[in-house]
Amino acid sequence: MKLKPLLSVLMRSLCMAGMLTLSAAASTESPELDDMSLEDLLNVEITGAARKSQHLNDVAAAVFVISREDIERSGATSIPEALRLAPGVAVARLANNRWAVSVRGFNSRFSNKLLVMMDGRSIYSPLFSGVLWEDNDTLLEDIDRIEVIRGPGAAMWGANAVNGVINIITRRARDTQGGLLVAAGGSEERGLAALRYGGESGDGHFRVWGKAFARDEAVTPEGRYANDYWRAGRLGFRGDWVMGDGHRLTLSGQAFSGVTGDTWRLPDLRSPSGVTLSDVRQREKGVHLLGRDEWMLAGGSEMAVQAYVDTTEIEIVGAFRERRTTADIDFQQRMLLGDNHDLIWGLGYRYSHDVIDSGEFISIRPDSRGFSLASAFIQDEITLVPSKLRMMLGTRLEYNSFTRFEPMPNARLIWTPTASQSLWGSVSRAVRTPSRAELDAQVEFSVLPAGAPGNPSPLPILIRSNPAVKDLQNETVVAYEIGYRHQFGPSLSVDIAAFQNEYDDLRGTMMGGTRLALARPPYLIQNVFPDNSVRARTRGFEIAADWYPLPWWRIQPIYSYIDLHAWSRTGDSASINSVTTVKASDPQHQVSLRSSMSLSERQTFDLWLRYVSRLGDHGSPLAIPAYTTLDLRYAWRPTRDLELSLVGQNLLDRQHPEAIPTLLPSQALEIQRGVYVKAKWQF
Amino acid sequence: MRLRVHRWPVLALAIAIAVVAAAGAVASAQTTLSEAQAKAAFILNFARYVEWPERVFPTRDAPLLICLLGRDGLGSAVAALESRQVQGRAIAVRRVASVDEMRACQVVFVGESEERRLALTLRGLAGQPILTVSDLDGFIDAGGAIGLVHGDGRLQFEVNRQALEQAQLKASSNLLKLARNLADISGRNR
Repeated sequence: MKLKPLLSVLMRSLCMAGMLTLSAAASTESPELDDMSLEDLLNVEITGAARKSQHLNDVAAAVFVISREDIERSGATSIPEALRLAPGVAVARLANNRWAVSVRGFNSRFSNKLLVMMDGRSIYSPLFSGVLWEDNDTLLEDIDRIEVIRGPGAAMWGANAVNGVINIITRRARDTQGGLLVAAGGSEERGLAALRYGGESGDGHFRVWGKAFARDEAVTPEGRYANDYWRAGRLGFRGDWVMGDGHRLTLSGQAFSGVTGDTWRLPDLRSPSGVTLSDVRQREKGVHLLGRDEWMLAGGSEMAVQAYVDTTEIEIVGAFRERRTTADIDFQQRMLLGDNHDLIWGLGYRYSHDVIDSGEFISIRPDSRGFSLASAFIQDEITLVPSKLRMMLGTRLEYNSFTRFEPMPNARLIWTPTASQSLWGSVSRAVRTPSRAELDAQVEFSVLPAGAPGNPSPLPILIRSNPAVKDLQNETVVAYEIGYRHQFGPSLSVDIAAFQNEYDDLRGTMMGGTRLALARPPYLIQNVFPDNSVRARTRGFEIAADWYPLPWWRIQPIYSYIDLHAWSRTGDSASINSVTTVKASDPQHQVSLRSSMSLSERQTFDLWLRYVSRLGDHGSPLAIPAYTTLDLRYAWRPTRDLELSLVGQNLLDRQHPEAIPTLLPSQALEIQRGVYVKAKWQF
Repeated sequence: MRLRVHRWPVLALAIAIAVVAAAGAVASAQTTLSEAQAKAAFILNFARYVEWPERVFPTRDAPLLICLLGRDGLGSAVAALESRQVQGRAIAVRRVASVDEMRACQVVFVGESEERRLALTLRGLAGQPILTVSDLDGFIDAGGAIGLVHGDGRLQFEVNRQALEQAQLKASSNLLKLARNLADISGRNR
């Protein structure tokens, strides 16, 4: 490329970034734009915040899209780490193989108010009501984007989309043609290797891939290595075909196997502290297969049918094993009625069946259970004033084996006074259905040794959590949201969303009877039962900006604030304990600042600074101090097809804790600084 | 607060790297355009490399009409193409709202906001000598002629030959050669 046009293009881009507006006058002064040939254009690096926000400008919900490039340049090596890129999302790494991820509050390893889908397949566990991130992964290079929708998405996506929905969408096979080899290794990421190959097949394309990795252990607060190793392997494929009659078919599948370690603080009546540490080994494996067909009817309406089968096995050796098979089928139709109605409706049916072997510590009865979920939804997007004002009304009706019918309506309004601004608001209701564990599990929760705080008796007390005695209700939320987006010229966009959520019938616990167990030595059993005794209200807002101060430099500041107020309806002491746990689950303030520089056509440098405020009250066993951390990434492309990168993670301290595990008795661990190198070769 | 002794040297190092890197980046100037500008430039090039049947132009000096449908953020960048010369004709740019208005256009750029109406729009334009271009995901699969797609921090494009044929448009071999989906495997990662 010649130097002169190159410089003038740069100068012009600089000027434009300064003015923040793209004026037609400026463009006419620069004849070089139309002198560029197609070949030149294909080599031009594109900058600009426009694309993402343009698309988002039309959505009446708080949506943030994490692109493939964002994931790559963040240096994240797993999906939960990449989710830290989005506003309103709390991600706490409990260990090197476990995460707590939530949107707008109630974070825990089993964050039950967040629905997560991967290519249309729910990865929300009906047993734990949450996402086991150690079981759900894919080749990160295959992810096209992750859509993070804050606020209830139940009307569209179904139950358990209470606080948000995360859609992980992989690339079409057509976009992953040829070969890809990825190898990485470092201090925390011990080793990662991945291979992908994409080719053509008939009227379509396919890819097959595999990946395997081993990850180092985290450390205890005292700095000793913990038992949270993680090794896993995964194979997958995807094919996309366009048939002659206009049908678009997708078929994808995955098989995985992994082993993760943990140390449990098991209740022990004989121990003076009430616990013994026990190393546990978790094995997980699974297979799924998904097919989708999309086509158009003569009238222009679009139809889609999707079905999948998913079977997984999770075993905590010696304690527990769940084998689950889920089959799901969904149908959807979208049609335009007249000039003003854009109507989507759909039907879905899911059947999930489990077989559970359990032992002393966790016991789940009955040991096999199936449940069905049938749902219907309809949503109409009504244009009130063309290209200015639209309203969305929708509802979903869901029937499930546990809690019967639940309506989940929403109403949204979006006003777009200009092409670069939009203001929206919504009111919606969503529910969270009880999990299999809440309904059927008995857990030996903890032991209070004789004389310990809370136990004035001369005998140790075993606290046992039991299945619900009366029917558990759905947790409900009514959410009020408002948001504003503004695109200030091509180089700056700002997105603000505020919410107030009112929760009722949240899962709490209540004290049951106490009885004496005449064993040797004798002890007391204090029973507790799940109930719906907790209420809560959250208020908060998120601000996300996307700014190109210079054409090759992107800065993304994000601030998220949440104020969570929870209280017990019953005043029961166990219920008040549940409230304390809920209150300690979320950081009130989170700040993320990313800087992405394209130093040259072959080099990029990224910096990511994060601040997370403290969890819990000072001195409480759930307290975690505030932390600030920094990740850096430098990447270099010696040739067009090879990229080498050096990534440093959590650089500001040697180790820090991010959350205290609740529910399962895992040991509290701290995350270490890590460095890794990675090579990516396309062939 | 978890302030540790190790933290400040690392931070200082990070800042030093950032400053050096920034200085280096200023020195190594590179070609960058805003996305809107690049898309406008692509549209201009597509108009260069596609041949319309002569009957679509009412007069010898009638302009080549580029139409924008929906909200797309390209407005001013494409407006800047106005009165440029392509195939001996001046370019005119117009915003359109309905299929009927589009019949006079030679190029129709379908904006992001039209995703929901895409199927209907393309159906309405079927058989017309109109070059449809869009950056919507899956545009050529839906029957569009040229789709702009992202890849490697650059823009690339894909061509639907069947749609071009149906629209009675002739595309130059250069255009077809550079299309991502038509290129041979070795030229794919351009």
